[in-house]
Amino acid sequence: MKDLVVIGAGPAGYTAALYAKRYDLDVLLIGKELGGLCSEAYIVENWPGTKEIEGQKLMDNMKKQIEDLGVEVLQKEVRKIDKNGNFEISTDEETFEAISVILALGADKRRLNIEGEEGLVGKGVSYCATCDGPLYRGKEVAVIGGADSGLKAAMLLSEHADKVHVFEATDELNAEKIMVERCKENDKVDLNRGMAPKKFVGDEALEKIVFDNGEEAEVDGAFVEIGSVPNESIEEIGGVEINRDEDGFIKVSEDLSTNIDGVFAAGDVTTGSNKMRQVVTSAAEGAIAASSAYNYVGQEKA
Amino acid sequence: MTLKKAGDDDFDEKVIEASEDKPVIVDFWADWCMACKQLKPTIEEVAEERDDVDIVEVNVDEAQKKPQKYGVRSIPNVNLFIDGELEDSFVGNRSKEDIIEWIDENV
Repeated sequence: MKDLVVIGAGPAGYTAALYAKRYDLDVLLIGKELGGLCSEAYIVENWPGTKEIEGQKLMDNMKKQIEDLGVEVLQKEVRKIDKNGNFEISTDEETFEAISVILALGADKRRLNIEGEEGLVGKGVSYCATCDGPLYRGKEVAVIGGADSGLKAAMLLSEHADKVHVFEATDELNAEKIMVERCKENDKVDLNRGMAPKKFVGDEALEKIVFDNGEEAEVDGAFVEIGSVPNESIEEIGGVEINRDEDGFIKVSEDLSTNIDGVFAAGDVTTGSNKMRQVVTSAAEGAIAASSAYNYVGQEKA
Repeated sequence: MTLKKAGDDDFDEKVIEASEDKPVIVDFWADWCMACKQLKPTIEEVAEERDDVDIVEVNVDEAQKKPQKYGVRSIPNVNLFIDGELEDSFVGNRSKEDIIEWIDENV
């Protein structure tokens, strides 16, 4: 039996495991996607102390740090959690028992939910510019969404594609001024406001986007960057629903505890840190959750 | 059954023609693609266990024409060919159980 199982392999999960291990807890980390959303970030320039680092590299560093301390990182998906006195955490293959759990489930990319979108995922419609950008060498692509992640995607894509059209639905680009300036200075990128996509059109692959205002854009690829939604793969534990707010974020107290004793949450999936979704806030929440789990385990064992 | 490799030149022989005899699964990948790297060991395990399908990997940086032809715009992109035709495909990392289920559904 473990003292703690951390679910999620992003900055929140890795930091929780780091602090837990240093508190001498017997901790196991199980995560479906190593590095989570952070590993899709091309360049991270706001991790304090580091001028710039690839998201994937930062995540690899975090993973190595805890593995060097003896923490096992299991790349599997947790399917469900039961409670029989202690917690029973199950993947497809095994079930682990633990006194406490930290849910660091992260977020998934938000979909537009428009006509033609689902059928063209992987055939021109993508939610990850770092993942698929290089496949569009010499092509013409669109970025849906003119906030920070959209403009960053546009800059990254311009290194591969010949032309990048950013389409923002509202009249404003809600992004850091520095990103807007970089895009304006980039010959390959153009910024378009008031363009809300209505449907994706294409047979075997994406051919064009049709907008609400009737305009059309013929592109080879469309990268959807309209934010993220909290992961909802774990909704209840032993029959008790995990309290979430109306947007799906897991409700946490200041000590990162949830409505279920012994269950804590950290990172993008929570209501914490004023919902500021950054690597640095996720890492901080991981540390706090680990500290709370340590206190809980101490009490349970007393 | 071990994992085979194919490029633009031998794709037709190793995949299209070969699939007339036995279903062929093609894994389009690249070494800058993290999800591809995570999928690789899983695909290798499936290749070892299943003799009823051939599994071929195609590096999209080296072979540019075939991925283009089959509309590969996201990787990892795993396609199933039976009797010379593309039967089904999936994009992204999947667990071994999911991949085996996908094979059983289609083959």
